[in-house]
Amino acid sequence: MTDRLTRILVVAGGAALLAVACSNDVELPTNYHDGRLAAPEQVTSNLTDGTLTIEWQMPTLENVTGLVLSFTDTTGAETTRFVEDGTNTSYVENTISLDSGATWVIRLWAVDDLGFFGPRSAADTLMVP
Amino acid sequence: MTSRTSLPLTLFLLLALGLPVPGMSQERPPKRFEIRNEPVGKSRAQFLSGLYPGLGQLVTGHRDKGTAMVVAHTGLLVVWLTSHADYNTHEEQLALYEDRYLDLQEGGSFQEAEETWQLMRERKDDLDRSHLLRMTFGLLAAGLYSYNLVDVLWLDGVEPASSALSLEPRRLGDGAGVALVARFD
Repeated sequence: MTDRLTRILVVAGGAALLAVACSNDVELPTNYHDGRLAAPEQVTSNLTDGTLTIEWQMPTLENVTGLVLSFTDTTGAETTRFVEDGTNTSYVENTISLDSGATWVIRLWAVDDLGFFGPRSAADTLMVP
Repeated sequence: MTSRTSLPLTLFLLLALGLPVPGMSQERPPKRFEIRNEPVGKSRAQFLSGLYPGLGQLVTGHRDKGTAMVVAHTGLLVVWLTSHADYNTHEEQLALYEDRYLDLQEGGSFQEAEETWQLMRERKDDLDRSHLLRMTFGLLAAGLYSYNLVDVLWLDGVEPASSALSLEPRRLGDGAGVALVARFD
């Protein structure tokens, strides 16, 4: 009986020692980016009398403190504007070049109080007639 | 074969067979074979098995069991240590990705965070696979070592083995010979 108990203890002790030495307690950090900020939707741009107006909708304003508007031309050069009020749903742009034939790809994304940029909206393309 | 190389070879064969060599003195009969039996003590065999599974069994004549244990334990140790090293590498890489992911919380973008998150998940999967591998082979190695200890401490693992078949030298006529001996206990 004692021999049998000793055998069990030897095997169990070795297994326990190995389990402690080889523990896998590594976990992924908390996911903070999924669902933190919504992507702007229904982005539209209207060019009227030399004034460009961009409008959008936010599915939710949770964590939104501002918005970034991005204008990308055909060369890939990007110009950005910051909208400080996250509740705004439109922006009037009058500094980028709106010469005839110019093409701009417009995107938006929300920003939170830590400066984290949310997912980008779908692109809206503006072709200046 | 030249005569220069054949002479030493002939002498070597004659000496190996214990046959009289022409020109050598015949003062005492040559000792053709010497069989030495040096049994290894049980405690020494147990100590050897404690050092490495199978060694005690080998020195006490349990060649099949001893060889199988040495080979199996070596293989298990190699896989265990390799997967353990892989685990540590994946753990370090995961820590780097985690730092990057947390840094992106301030000033980073969703796209960068998502890419880093996917890399972290892949690394975590690798980490879990390495962990499963090292646990499996570590447990197998520990199990084999434990069985080895049980074998030498409580079973007859280090009792001297009696081989059923052996090759033994025999005098055949005037010359030396070898006989295949079978024992039936």
